[in-house]
Amino acid sequence: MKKLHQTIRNILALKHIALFNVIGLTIGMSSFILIAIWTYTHFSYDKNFEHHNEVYLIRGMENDSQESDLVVPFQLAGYIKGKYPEVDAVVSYQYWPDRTKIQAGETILYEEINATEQDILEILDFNFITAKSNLFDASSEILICESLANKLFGSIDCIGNNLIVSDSINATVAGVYKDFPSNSTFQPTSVCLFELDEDLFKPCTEWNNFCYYSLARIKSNASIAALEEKLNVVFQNDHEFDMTLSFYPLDKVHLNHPGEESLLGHVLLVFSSGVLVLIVSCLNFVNLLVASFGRRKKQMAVKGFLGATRFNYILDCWLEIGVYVVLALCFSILISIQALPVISQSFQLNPLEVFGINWFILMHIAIAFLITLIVSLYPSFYYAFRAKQKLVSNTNINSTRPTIGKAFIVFQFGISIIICIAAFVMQRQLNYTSNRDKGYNPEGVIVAECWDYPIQEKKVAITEYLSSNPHIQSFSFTNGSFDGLGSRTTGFNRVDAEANQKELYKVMYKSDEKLFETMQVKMLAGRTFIPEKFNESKSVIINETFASELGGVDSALDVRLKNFEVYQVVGVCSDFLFEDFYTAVEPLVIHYNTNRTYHLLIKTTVDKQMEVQGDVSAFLKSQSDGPFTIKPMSLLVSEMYLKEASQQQLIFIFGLLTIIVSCLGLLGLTFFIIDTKTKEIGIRKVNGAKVSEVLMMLNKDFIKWVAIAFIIACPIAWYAMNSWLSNFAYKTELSWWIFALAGLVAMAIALITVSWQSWKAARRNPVESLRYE
Amino acid sequence: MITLNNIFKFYNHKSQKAYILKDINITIGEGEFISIMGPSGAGKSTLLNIIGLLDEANEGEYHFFDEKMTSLKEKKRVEYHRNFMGFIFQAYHLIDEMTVAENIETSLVYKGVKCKERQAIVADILDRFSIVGKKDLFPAQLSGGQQQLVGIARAIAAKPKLLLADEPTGNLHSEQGRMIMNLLKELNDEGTTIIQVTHNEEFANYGKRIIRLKDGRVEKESVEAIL
Repeated sequence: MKKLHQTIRNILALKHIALFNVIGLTIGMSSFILIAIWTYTHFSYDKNFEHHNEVYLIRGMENDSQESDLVVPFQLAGYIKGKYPEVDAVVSYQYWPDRTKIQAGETILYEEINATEQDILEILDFNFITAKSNLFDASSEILICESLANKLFGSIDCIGNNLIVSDSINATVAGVYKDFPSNSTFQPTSVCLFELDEDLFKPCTEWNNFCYYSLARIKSNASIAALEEKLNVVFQNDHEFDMTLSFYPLDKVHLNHPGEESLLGHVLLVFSSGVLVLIVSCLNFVNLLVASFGRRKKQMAVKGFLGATRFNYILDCWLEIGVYVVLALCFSILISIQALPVISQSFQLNPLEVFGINWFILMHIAIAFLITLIVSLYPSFYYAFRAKQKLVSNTNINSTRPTIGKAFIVFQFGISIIICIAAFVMQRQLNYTSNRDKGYNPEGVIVAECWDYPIQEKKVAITEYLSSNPHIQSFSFTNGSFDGLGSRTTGFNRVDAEANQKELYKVMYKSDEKLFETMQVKMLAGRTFIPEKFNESKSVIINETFASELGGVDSALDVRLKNFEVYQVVGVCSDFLFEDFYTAVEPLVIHYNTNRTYHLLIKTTVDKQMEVQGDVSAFLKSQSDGPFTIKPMSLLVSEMYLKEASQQQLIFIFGLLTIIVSCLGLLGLTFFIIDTKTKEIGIRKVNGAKVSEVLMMLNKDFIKWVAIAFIIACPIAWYAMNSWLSNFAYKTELSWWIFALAGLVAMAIALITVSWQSWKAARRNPVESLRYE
Repeated sequence: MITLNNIFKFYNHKSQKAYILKDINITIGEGEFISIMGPSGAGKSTLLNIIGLLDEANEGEYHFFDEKMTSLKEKKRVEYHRNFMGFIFQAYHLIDEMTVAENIETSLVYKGVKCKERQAIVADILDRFSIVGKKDLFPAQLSGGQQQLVGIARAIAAKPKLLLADEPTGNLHSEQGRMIMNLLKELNDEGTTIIQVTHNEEFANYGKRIIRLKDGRVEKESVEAIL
């Protein structure tokens, strides 16, 4: 107890250093713990139920394009069912359920109903709160999650209650299950059988319609590779598909979704920047700790002749580290508990749901323990292998300059500069993506997404309303907005192509004639759709990329294309972006179609955009209670880069934290260095040095070390950002001035930090500092 | 108690040996009070440090209670520091971050004395030196004489056989110095062997024997009458 008391007094002897240490450690610990939890939550996806390693999704890979997807034909599950003893259960599961109208008494909700098969209960982990026996023995049964039950009926006590689905279908609640945890890939709010309504839930069941997931549960001891081989041999015999089937583990889907940009890299990037903050703060702590030993040399020496061994020193040092870590731990727990809700909000992940508060604190303590161990290493070695401090008996013991500190400066500032450059480049890339010429003009455009809104029935009224609004310049009904268009499932080929020539899958987009005017897409040749003059039902307009594939803009005009039917190319429009910047513009076919259009693109005068958005929203609501979303086009575009934006923000925050910690370290180090140079400063001033000369003397060392840090950091940052940028099809350049800027910022921050102390030291009256010499 | 035979101490300075001590031969018995005198740079403090195991001779033999002290293991050396030797310095060398009582207690802590016993010893010493009222003060709050008093209190707390004092009065004015010297004499009368280094003729005469060093050699050894 007494020892602890003395340790604390020792710590408090240098109050500001103690403060820097605690702040630095707290920053490192809390940011690491938060990011560790966030990362763990990502890795914990679908791993929370017992037999998660037996659940697979069936993946189809096209043999020639090597593109793979988890969305497969409806009949595949039925095809596999019962054929293989290893497969316990296999079902089709709706890939993209509609928000369907559900009515319970007076309550009307639009919710996603996942249609599937009975065996889903064997595959996914339904945690029933209340349920009747023999679920799904009647096709009218529906299972709902707890939160939906509460919304519909106000309680979970609703077994046997009736629901009216989509105005006419009667369903009976057969069970209520706990909401799926937020770290599940599948989180159905309600589940029914396809048989509940075949028209509604099984719209596309042909072998060439890719609209469903196939989920399977396979015995854990079965060889997946052998099973896949058996399956593929038979499958390719039975079908013409040139496609290889495989089983993709469910617990891998979240981080590595086939056919999508992998989340893993993103998670690891953010995690490693969190680790960097921790490393920097630990280094900072060690650095200041060792520097403070220099100041305590006298104390050490005195203890030495009083009979202290190395072990006593090391024990003292551990105790001191322990006190710091415990302090930082307390602050860190406080801070991160405050920050957790923010994290769950901005990432739609609830780590506390995965962890529980006790685990969270336990993990925190474990991390603190780990930090203590790592941090103790260096000071322990410092004492264990260092000659015992000699006490020169009658002179004052001067602490010598901390030399190791310089390496720390280089390291800390190197990392800060790298993170700074990374944040700059990411910011620039994001700006670039949102400001680059997209081939269309998103200004003033608002988009209403109406997948589950009866837009076809209300088309006349909507058209009338929109035409009468003076602020609306133009509007178009299409089947997608430009943040991700149409389907890639349709193959087109020239009519005169040879029979064995491969079909090329083109992006198929359906729209009416006003698309080009609304989005201000330029026509390069031919005409737009003119339904008043021509029968446009077999007309298509293609983009420039496709036209050049067909042999140039002009010659493409007369081409006739076929898939199930024959289409005539009537126009070529300039390329415009309809996907994110990872992918280059693909060949696009725009088909004139007014029946299957679920999006409304509206061009307004720019300054009236928000007003019009409100008006249109109100009007749509007045026409039907069906759900829709309405957003500015610019928002949709930036939403495409949410992942990048959050990545950039996190890295920016981490960069800032690293710099703060580094500055604390530098501040502390300057304190010690100036402490040892007090005499030198005094003597120089007595001999006529000016304040500016003393400042120069003190600062030039730091400038040198930060410059070295910069030189080391640049190539690393260049390499890292170059490979990050190479993911994008359209990217900004790495200009030299980004590096220069980061270097200057680091230098300026370092100089300000150092000068704050050295200015004080340089202006001190030399008599004061020399008095005791 | 202490025998020094042919002790040499030198530093290699640009391939030239700079001798600090040359061929020192001294024998010191238990209960003696030795004063080492000599001009600056004569090697007084080095000699004291060698005796106190804070420094090592390059050549020669050093026996302490018939045990060889040359090339001692660190562990062994710490044992001697804990159990046999106490130090007093001109600059006091108190630990600034510790109170008076804690400073005195430190050597007992390292010796492994139980807490209760420690407190009793510290209380005794505080009482003897009449500094009970200062026990919770920090060194910076004390005058030089008081600090040196604490220094001596700390040095004798562990009841060392040998007390090594390196100019204990160097930073004090003569009144305080005399008080400290009387205290040392008292301790010597109680049986503690004392070796002190001093510049002051008056204080040197408190010793029963004076060893004069010059340029690293023993110039003169004389048994002085006690004043």
